[in-house]
Amino acid sequence: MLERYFGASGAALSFDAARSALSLSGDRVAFHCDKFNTRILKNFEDVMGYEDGGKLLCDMAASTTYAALNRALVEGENAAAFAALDLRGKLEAITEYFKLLAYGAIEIVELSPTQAKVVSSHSYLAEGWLENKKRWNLDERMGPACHDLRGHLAAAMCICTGRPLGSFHCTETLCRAYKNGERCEFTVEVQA
Amino acid sequence: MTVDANHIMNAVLGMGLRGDETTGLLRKFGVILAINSVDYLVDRELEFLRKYPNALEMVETSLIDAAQWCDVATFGGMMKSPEWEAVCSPMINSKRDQLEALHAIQNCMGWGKISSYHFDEANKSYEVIVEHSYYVDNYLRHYGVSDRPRCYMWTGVAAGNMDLLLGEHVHDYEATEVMCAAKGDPYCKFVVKKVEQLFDLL
Repeated sequence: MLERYFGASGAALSFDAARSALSLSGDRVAFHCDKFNTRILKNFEDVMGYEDGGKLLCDMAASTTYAALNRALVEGENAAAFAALDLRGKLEAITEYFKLLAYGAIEIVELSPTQAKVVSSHSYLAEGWLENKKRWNLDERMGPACHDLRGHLAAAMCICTGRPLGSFHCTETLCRAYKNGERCEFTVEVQA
Repeated sequence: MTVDANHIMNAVLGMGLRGDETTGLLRKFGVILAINSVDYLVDRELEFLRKYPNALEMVETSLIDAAQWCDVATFGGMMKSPEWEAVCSPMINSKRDQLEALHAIQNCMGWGKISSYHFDEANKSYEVIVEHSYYVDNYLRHYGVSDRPRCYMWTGVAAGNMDLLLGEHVHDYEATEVMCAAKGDPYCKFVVKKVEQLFDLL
C-alpha cells in the first residue's frame, strides 16, 4: 500500500467539481480506458512505424512521469519520507504509485544503482491489447506493447538514483501481447 | 424522473477508482481504466502532430477517430455494465436522460467539464460546451495561443455520444470543434451532425 510510505495524503486523488478536474499530488490527471489507449498505440505504430511510434510513447511517458515524480517525491511534501528510503524502498514506493494509477502490479526481480529487472503479470497496455485484439481484429504485433510503461520505469529509476531524465533506458524483453509471452519483463539500464 | 447528475458523479467517484491491490488493474464499467497524467495524454498527441506538419489534418483526424472508437466501445460497454444498471438505469426514460447520464460520468473522468448542451433528437443534432478541457492549459503553457482547435479527444467523444444514442455504427456522426479555449475562445464548443451517406443523396 502506498500509504505505508507516505501516509494517506500522499495517495489521495482529489476532484475539483467546478472544473471536473482530477489531481494527484498536485498534478492534473485523467482516466482513460483500454479502448482509447489501445487505439492510440495502434494509431502511432501504424502511422510512424513500430519503432518510432513506440519511441514517441516511451519518451513522452518518461518525461512527464519524471516531472510528476520529481514534484511529488523529490520536491513535494513526501520528499523527506522518500529520501529516507533505500534504493529498493524507493522503487517499491514508485511501483506502488504506478499500481494506484492502475498501470498493473510490478515485481522487482533484480536491482542495483545501474540496472533493474522487473516483471508484470498485468501490465495494462498488454491487458488492453489482448482484451481488444479479437473485438477489433488486430494484427499480430511486431513487438512488445508496453511502450509507456517502459518510459514510466526509466523515469522511476532516474528518480530513485537521483540521476537526470534520460539517464536510464528501458527495454521490454517479453510481453503478454507479443508471441504469447507469459508476462511482461523489463530491463532498465543506465544509458551508455 | 430526471437524471440526478450529482448522484451519478458521487456514486462513480465514491467507487474508490484505483488499481486493484493484487493485479494493479482497474476494471470497472466493463472496461480497464488507468489514470494518466494530463501532460502525458496531451504531449503525446502534440508530439505526434509535430512529426507531420504537412499532413496535419489527416493526423488530427486519426486522433479524433481513436477517441470516437473509444467513446462508442467504452460508454457502450458501460451502458451494459452492472454499475450502470445500478446507478443510472433507474433514472433513465429517454435518449436525453441517457445523454445526461453519459455527461455525468464523462464529467468524472478528469477531462474537463461539460457545462451545457443542446440535443435535438428529431433533427439528430447535438452541440456541447466544455470548459476546462484538459488540452487547454497544457497547450497554452507550451505553445501559447493556438491557431486551430486542439481538443481532439473531446471531438471524438462528442461524435461518439451521438453514435451511441442515435447511430447504428461508429462514424454515423461526425463532430467539429467550432470554438476552442486554446484559440482564445471562452470555452470549447462541439457541433455534431449525421454523416451524409451516398445513398442519402440519391
